Amino acid sequence: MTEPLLSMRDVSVTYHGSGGAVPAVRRVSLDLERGGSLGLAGESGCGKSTLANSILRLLPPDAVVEGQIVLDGKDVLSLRPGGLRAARWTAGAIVFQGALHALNPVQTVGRQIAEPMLIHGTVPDEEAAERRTVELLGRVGLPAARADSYPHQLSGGQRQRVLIAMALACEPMLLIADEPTTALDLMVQAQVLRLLEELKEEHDLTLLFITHDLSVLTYACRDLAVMYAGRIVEDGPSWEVFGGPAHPYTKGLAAAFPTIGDPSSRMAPSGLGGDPPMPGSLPVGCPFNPRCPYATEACLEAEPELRIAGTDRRAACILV
Amino acid sequence: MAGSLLTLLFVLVFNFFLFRIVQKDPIGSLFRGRNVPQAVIDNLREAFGLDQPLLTQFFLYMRETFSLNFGVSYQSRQPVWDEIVAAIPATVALVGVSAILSAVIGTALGIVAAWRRNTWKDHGITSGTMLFYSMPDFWLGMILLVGLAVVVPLFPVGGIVDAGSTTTGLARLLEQTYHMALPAFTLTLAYLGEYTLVTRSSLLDVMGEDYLTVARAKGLRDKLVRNRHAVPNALLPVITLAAINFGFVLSGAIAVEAVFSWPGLGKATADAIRGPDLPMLQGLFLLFSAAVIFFNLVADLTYGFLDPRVEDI
Repeated sequence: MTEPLLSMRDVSVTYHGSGGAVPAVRRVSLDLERGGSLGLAGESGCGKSTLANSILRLLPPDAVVEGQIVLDGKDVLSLRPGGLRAARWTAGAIVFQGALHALNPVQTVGRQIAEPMLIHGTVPDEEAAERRTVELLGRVGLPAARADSYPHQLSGGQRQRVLIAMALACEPMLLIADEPTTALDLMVQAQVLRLLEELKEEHDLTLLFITHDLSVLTYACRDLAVMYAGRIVEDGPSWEVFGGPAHPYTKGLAAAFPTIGDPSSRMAPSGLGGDPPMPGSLPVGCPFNPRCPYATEACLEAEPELRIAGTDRRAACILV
Repeated sequence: MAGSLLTLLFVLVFNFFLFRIVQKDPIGSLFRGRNVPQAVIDNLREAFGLDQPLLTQFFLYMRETFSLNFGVSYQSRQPVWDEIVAAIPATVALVGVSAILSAVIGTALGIVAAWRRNTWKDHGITSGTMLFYSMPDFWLGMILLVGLAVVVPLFPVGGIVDAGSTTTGLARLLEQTYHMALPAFTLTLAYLGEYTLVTRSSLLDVMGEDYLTVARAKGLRDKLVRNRHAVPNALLPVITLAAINFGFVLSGAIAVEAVFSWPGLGKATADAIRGPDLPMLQGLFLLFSAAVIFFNLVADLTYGFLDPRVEDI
């Protein structure tokens, strides 16, 4: 077996803000093979974006990252600033969420796409950078003239395409897509998903896809990892996890999607009750027990570790 | 553009009636109760057109203003415009230099403070500039005057050249610069805090933006993230502040000019108020308003140039 492109071992991220230590990610381990695709799912605040940003060390200074992150053979957490900058955007790049202010409002999008090429010297000069920018824009379905536009002149879908083109600028090996379809309407969502899928094939990319939308992940990724309260509570091949969830939390997530053609699923939605716990004050025992319909006395005692739940499948629940 | 002209017209009308309310009998106060024959006073009233009904005075004032005749100073008996023009260079030099210095230094300090927030650099810069900002500028001027011109006589105590100086050319320019140092230093210190605080808070706002995370993710150096992505966005409100302050370049230093006997528009204003010299004050106020209005227009235009989201004004 070849070495995985991304390997995370017991990664924990703790924010040391004014309100004390807040554990956002707790002892997460995952491997992502070259050419593979992994979807990270979970509700807001479960730590999935924190985990994604820890890969390129983009967290604020008050976040302490422990464990080991190896990206393309490099131990990310022990890289010096120069080495870290060199690895950013070349070993791994991020498709940020277009709905946020991920684009600088006072710079043309063309300049912003070309910037990493010039920083990393992947093109010989500005002219070549411009040519490649136009090429990339064309690849994501935008006309060359869009290079001279400012972000506010673009629609949400166009901005998302620009962010995708930007992420491809230095031909990264790992593409981290952080909620790339959030806040887009369904048609545009589908277009963006198809585009990402095509690009993954063309460029032989490895994809780490983050979203709260389980159905999107099932479509886009071979493997799935579900996070709850800073930990992975279930992982395995997408269709198996979505089709036959082992962890009660995954069951709740999967049940939240209405079955098309079945009115009863729409009339009586069977999603999850309650709210996810605050990372600063986790419940005793299994952090899901206050919301879990199957909770027993034993669930209050200790937090369950991931255990085997089938071929290539794991779940952190004592009922498995 | 049309709005600016309308504002100016309003100032013109307002100025006239304001001073008529403030001072009913300017000629009487000119002599300050000294025993002057009534005939002399009547003559003067007539000469300045003050014997006419108020409305007639107003139309005369408007007509003359539009033909760029601002009247004759009560005190010096010279045309107001000549008096003002003579005082402009001194003020523009003093306040202009201070405005530029405080804008550049203040903004730079604000950037450092925000980028290194909650460090000793930030605390030092913020509290230091706040200290000077909270002092009255004339008081700061007096302290500096006593300290650096009287106790330790490094600088001249006032004026634009030494009394009876006969220097010319470059030597005179140097002499004037030397005299300007202390008042310019005072004004720069006094204005600094505003820029530092506005820049700091504006940059802190920007520093939470996602596009800075994106810039870091691309592999940019910290300095490049700051200069290329953070500062251009944070400077927008600072530009407005600078433009407004430049509008006050002509009028802003009344107290400091008085402290340092600097023969500029500020001192001319202080002297005219003491009169009161109505034509002089009307002329000065019109000029000050025109400058403020003009620089606000410049601010709007610059904003449109710097921020692509502002299409037209």
